Amino acid sequence: MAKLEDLLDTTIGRRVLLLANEAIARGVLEAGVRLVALYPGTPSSEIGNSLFKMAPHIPNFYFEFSTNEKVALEVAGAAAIAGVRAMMVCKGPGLNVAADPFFSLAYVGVRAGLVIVVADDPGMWSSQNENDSRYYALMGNMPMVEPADPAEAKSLLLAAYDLSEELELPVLFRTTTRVNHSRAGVELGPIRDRPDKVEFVKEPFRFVPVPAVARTRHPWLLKQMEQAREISESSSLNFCIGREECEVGIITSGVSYNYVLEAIQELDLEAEVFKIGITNPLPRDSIVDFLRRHKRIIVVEELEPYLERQVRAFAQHQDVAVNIYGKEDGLFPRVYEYSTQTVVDALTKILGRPAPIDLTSIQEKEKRLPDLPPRPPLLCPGCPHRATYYAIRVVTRGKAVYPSDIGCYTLSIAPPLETADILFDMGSSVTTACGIAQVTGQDVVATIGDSTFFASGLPGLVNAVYNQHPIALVVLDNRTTAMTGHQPHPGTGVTGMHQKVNPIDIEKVCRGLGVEWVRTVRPFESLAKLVADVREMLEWVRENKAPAVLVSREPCALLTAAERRRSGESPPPYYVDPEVCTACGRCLNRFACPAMYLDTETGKAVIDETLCNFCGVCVSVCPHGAIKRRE
Amino acid sequence: MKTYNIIFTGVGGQGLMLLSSILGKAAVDAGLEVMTGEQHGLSQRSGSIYVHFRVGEPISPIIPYGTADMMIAMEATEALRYIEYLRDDGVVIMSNRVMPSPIETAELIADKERNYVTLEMIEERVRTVTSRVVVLDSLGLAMKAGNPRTENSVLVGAACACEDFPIPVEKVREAVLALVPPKTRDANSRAFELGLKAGASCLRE
Repeated sequence: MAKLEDLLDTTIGRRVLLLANEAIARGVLEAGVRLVALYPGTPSSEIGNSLFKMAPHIPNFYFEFSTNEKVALEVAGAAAIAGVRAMMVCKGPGLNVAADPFFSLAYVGVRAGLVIVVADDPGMWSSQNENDSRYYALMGNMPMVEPADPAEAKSLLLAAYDLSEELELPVLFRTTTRVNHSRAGVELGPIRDRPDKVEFVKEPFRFVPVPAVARTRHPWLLKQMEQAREISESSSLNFCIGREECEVGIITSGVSYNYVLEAIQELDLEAEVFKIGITNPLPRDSIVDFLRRHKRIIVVEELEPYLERQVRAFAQHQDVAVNIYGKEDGLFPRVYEYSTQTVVDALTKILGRPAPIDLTSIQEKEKRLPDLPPRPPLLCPGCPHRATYYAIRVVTRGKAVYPSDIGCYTLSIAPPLETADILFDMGSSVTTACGIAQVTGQDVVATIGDSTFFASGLPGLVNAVYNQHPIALVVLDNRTTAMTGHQPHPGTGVTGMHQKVNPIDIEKVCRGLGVEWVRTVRPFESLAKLVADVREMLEWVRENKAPAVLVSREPCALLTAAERRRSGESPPPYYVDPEVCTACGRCLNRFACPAMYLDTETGKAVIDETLCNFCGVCVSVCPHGAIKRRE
Repeated sequence: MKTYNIIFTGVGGQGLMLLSSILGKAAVDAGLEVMTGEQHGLSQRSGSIYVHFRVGEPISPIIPYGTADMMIAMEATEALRYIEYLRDDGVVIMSNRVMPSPIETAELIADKERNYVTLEMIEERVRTVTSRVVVLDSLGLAMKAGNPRTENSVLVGAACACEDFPIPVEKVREAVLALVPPKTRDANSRAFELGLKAGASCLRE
């Protein structure tokens, strides 16, 4: 939440509090990046949100929210080939979407700096898996840089652009949630100018990797990577701290470096630490020297044993007899994010030392605590998705199969809505629905968000129409990319440059693709109509054995709440009339809005007026007319 | 300077990120080193969340268990949920607000004998860890300040009343005014002062 004026400030040397993602956005300015293309994905989202705010104020700068990550990388990659610095940003699974151009880009290389920022998510705070993107760098032969904190998020980004240009290769800039979502003081540096227009100089026998060209590019790429290794050997991004003459040497990178420093301080341990900033290619010779200096080597990294396996291979290749400790002995976990405690636990085990703090007293403290009710994330009060899922439940009574997709609405997995049965990735609602509908006799009602529909839903819908899959698809059109912090998408009519354009109409797109039953409904206008439309759609699908689409359109509750605060409007709140309420529990049991709770004395429902978002859907849910609006 | 650790806890949507930005800005403007570890994204949607805030000479973004000097809880249940981070005799600044989650409600409907977790029960448990507990009617004070959405300024104000709080109160006051929406500046300013006063009187007792 840094202020726009701080992100744009030209006072060199001033220290500003920045989230690492904001520091990356500031780095775009300082590196003179001309074009950034991305599709939002947490934990990388604030990079795009900051650039969206900054874009109109930066001369010669272009920013876009692309329709998906593959599109974004192709847009950015081409700009870098044309000769300007460019950037693409994504979360870990987003790089999977962009994997196709990723490999080609390494083969053809770039003429100006290209940095691909990927944010992995150890602990899966907001992702469907813990995929370790470092293996892309290894597999694709792409140099990789990893920052450990907000200050490095900016300084290493600038270094990554220099590295990219020196090698004429894209550079993967790999972060993790704990870095992305860490705030610290960051020193502002000078802002670099960006060129206005450049000329695309043709060189098809480099940039069109038909087999004959690709065959020449692969050896070139390997030669560049050897040069990259030499750079890695002498780069200040890879450095050692601590005394060389001691028994223990620790190799680490990213945020694990911070945990290592804190752990050795807590343990009062003498160790030399090798902090690796360029994690592909590794500084092989420097690592071998490091291995020779110590008796015990401990590798500390989250997720997969990426560094560890390479370090073991170096030791084997160079015949270094040293004990290497890491994940392969089960000393460090391969799942979830680390903390200082993780490192302390492993170090005490490896070195046979007593634990520095008495964990038993903390565990005692925990034991004294009651079992608190869990509080998982839920659909917000006033969320239009709750109304749509409620209607789907009313019609299908939980008996249909509900393929879900990536967005806030995946939270409908929770009771009582329970309308998420299968999910792989962005856009998989439509396609998994096809697979299920073909081999079962069950009704299939898939749900997908508006942004996801454009990002990855379209090819699946083409497939459903052409191959005649009997599926009911509900597009939850809340007029924004809500989950990642409200970015515009092709259906909203606003671009990354704040230009007003014609929004792409989802209903028209579906008709254009040949979907015969398409309808748009406003869930807050009439719950009864929403229920009737879902029912009619399902009957049509059963009869016609083809896909049908219902667009359920209502703005995100957070947007309407923000709008209300801006306008200062305070509409009359809803309440439960205890005289009319029969304590039947339908609202609490079936609708479960977080703004409602139970009066345990009377068994009747109560609305918390400070949480209510005024959707009014509960009024229609109550069979007795007990929910009313104050005059 | 020794590192001072604060853990913020609450329910997604209550404004914990703003709280973190305000104290972080105040600290950086006062020339102090800060490092935070936050939860964004999925956890914003009415879920339980916490933020690690470290000022002084922070090395990593996560507070080790049992070493938080202060907890600022925007919701009472969430104070108890993360109490293992607090050191013995650490300070707890907590709202008296208890927000029942729909899951708890569903459990209550299924089992008529059960009751919601109460403030009294939470406070009693928190007091077994520390005696330095400030319970504030943050919503009441925010309404008194003129805007129910200024609860976080109330709590920040109360935190500043704590004698070992490491960030100068003047810098915090400035950061509040710089970061809240311009229209709400007056209400937030009043909320901050109300919190400061309420915190001071609680801690003196």
